[in-house]
Amino acid sequence: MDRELHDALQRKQAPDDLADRVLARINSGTQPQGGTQPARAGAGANPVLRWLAAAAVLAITVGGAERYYTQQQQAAETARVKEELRVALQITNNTLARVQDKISQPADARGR
Amino acid sequence: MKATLRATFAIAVFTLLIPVAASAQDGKLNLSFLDRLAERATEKQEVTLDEQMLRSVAPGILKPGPGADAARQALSGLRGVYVRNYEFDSDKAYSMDDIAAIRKQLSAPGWMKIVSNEEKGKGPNDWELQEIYFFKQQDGKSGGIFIINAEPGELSVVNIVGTFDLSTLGALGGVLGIPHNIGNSVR
Repeated sequence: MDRELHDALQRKQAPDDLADRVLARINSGTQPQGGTQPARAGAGANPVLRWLAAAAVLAITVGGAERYYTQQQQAAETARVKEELRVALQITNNTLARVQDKISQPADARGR
Repeated sequence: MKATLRATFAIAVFTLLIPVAASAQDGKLNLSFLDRLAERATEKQEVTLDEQMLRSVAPGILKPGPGADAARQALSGLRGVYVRNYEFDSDKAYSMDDIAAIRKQLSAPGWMKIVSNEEKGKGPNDWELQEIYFFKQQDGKSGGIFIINAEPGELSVVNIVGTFDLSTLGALGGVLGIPHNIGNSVR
């Protein structure tokens, strides 16, 4: 057992043409036969599908951003109108109170 | 030729009068006459909310809670809220003549004066005016209100358009954080 293990792990010299073969394979762009990496399939294998996927992601991102921006705009507009309405009703309240004061005062009290 | 010119002139005048007539029928007054006073004011608050603005933000304003139903009813009846509030650093900043153009509009059919207090003292700046008008639509329903408080150095004008009463406005004010006393003084 020890002997077999020793033989198996024994350092071996690489073939002389290994570097040339690796470089040739890289330059040719081919995948090694029977390698451990599975061949990629689906969208990644097709450039058109890859671009379509990227466009879809971009569209979803832009759409989401636009929707978020619209919602923020709507919220800001609602807050603005709410504040203006509050101011308007406050002034209405004050003006009515002022009119009430004036008409309830006797003329003498008004100093005229 | 003369008849054609006359007809053209009549059509032009009629076309110009249509917006005025329409404005007079819905309780909305033309407050643009106050723009020149706004330029002289040291402090001013101006609110212009038309029906479209009020409708578009109504769901966001009215959250569920106490008084929400009454406030929703008030808001649904509003077709416009126009407020001008000016303060001046001089008692001579404006006179009754400056607000005459607005008051003249209140002589149109439908407007009824319900409160009036006009005082004139001895001096040229010793005057003041408080008035409240209601606008009654052709179907008999209220179509708006106009409130003015004019004193030397201070002018407040309120024109609220729509079908409402002041108590429902009070409910709306309550939702917006204003005490429920709008309209108590004239009810």
